[in-house]
Amino acid sequence: MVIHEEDKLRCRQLNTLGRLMAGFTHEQKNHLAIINESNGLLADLLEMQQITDETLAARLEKIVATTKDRVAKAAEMAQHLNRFAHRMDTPLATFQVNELIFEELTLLHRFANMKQVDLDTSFSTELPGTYNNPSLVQFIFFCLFDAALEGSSARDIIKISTEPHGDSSQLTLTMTGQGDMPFSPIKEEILCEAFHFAITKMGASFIEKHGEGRHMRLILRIPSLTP
Amino acid sequence: MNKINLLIVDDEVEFAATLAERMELRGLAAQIANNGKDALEMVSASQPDVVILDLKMPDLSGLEVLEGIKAKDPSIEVIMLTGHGSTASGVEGMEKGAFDYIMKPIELAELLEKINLAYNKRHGIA
Repeated sequence: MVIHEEDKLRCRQLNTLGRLMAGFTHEQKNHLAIINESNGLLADLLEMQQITDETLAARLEKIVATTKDRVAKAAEMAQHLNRFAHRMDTPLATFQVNELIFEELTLLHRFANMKQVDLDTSFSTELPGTYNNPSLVQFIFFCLFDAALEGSSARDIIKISTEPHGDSSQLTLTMTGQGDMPFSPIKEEILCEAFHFAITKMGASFIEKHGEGRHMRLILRIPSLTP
Repeated sequence: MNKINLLIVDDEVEFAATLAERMELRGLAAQIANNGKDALEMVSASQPDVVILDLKMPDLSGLEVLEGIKAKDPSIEVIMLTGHGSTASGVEGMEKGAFDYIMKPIELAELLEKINLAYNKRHGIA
């Protein structure tokens, strides 16, 4: 792969974006912490019956519960985004593939929701630890997820599963749907040159398998490199 | 059991004030410092049992304040607050003598449990 000046510029831009994202999520968690404590204080006052109007107290209790729930969800997303932003800090590291995929999937749910595609997951607890490039795994997973979503229609299902494959970890995106209309092969522009370069750099392998009817699998095998 | 004396150190004024109020509602005595320098002065003056210390502050960092507290009185227990996605910074704090760490936004029940354990350690209560 030839690196041009334009590519170097894009790398710098990506680095800037990662740093801004890491800083943003940190600040976001500070704001959420303040909302959480203010909401908690309101809950304390309600519990200590310092608000005597029962109708108002009941209404406030509902607001407190909703706020607590949303703060927890927002904090979880901020945490995943923060970790995601830091993944490029170390080019090679030991990680669990499940953790990387779960982290990224939290940020990808919205894209599936917008297209009314259902997501399902099945993560094996038997996966070996993997020594490889964590941000490349997440880049490749994004490419595969994007390709699967691009080829799917409303009410199709994308199942993301992991399992051991020898010393490697295998990640499979299984696309299924109603009817017999087969899924189209993945377009080359979606699984671009950078995707294949990343596969080679990781020592990974990729297979696209078409089943009968509306059924297709995208399979990625991620080996553990030698430190 | 004596009243637990807490010092909450965080540059987020609202956060520190609200957390202090919640602690006082639960019978703890809570003081606030909004920067590292004030925190070290208050540690000398009031000898808190437990310090809740934010890791990221603009003047002295949480780790620097931790070192300062431990230099003044190693028996004062410190619980680090971190907004980071990674637990690495909290672990680094523990390596420098912090009792424990907790992530923001905090779960109050979890923090209270850690405070009680830290208090017991400081006073040799099994």
